[in-house]
Amino acid sequence: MANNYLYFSNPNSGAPDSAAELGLYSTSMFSGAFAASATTTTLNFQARDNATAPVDTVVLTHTADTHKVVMDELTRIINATNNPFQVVADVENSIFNITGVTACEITTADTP
Amino acid sequence: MKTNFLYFRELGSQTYTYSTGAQTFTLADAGGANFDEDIAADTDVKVVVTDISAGTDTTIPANGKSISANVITIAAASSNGFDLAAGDIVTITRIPAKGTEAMLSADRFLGVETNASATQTVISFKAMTSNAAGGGDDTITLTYPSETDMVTSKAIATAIDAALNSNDNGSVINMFDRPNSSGLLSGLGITRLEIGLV
Repeated sequence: MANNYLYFSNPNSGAPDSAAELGLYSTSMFSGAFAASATTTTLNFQARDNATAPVDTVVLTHTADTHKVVMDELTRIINATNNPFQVVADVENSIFNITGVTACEITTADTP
Repeated sequence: MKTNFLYFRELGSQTYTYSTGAQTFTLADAGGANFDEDIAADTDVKVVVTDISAGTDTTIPANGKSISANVITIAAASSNGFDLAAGDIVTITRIPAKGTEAMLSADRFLGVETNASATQTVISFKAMTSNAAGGGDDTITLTYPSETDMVTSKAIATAIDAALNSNDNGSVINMFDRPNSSGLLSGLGITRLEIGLV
């Protein structure tokens, strides 16, 4: 089965001139998620340069104490069959396909 | 084949009804009846006072509470805390943080082993945050009353096997949601769940 790809954007302002304002990650590189605070869940992806640590992360900000909802809906997206390109959190266009998610922060371990 | 994820959540809440005297509350933590983790800092928990007479909830700020050993103290209102009255309800809840709730990928599962004791079994996964050799694994440590015949530990292994081989459509499989007493591992007499993430 082909992989799905998870899309995230988190622009600062103007042109995308900082690292990791946009990220597209293969679901095959997704390694798990954990509650990071009352209102955030951290998604982990194996680093693109195959470095040992740290991994690439996307921190989703969401309604308080809804981590399980985020995890359930993320899993639905990971396993979706309608389209391999799956928008999870596109801040640039205000598109959020997980209930309660309002923001994301992409941190890359690699230099593109 | 699609990806399944195994979901675990630690227990972490305790409620008290204040009567009189010192505004101190002893946490049943570190595997006690209410908290799976050892609560070491007052900033690890959210303290909410329900004022019964006013019908309001007040969250105590960090500078209005303190902890010594496993005892939380709420300061007086004049010191950023709250002046409790008889009947007020104090709810202390673990603030979510890395290691309190997680979903781990089934395809990163490594194994289930008893932990050189008659009371613990450890479920291991490749670390979600690191590929470093020797960097350690993500672990779920389950504690239960002493066993002599491997009934509990085998039941854990069986439940993990069932989860890893279930639902080809891909989903989050609830292994153990301790606050809600649900999941494939509930009902096995497990008294503590510790999530260890690298």
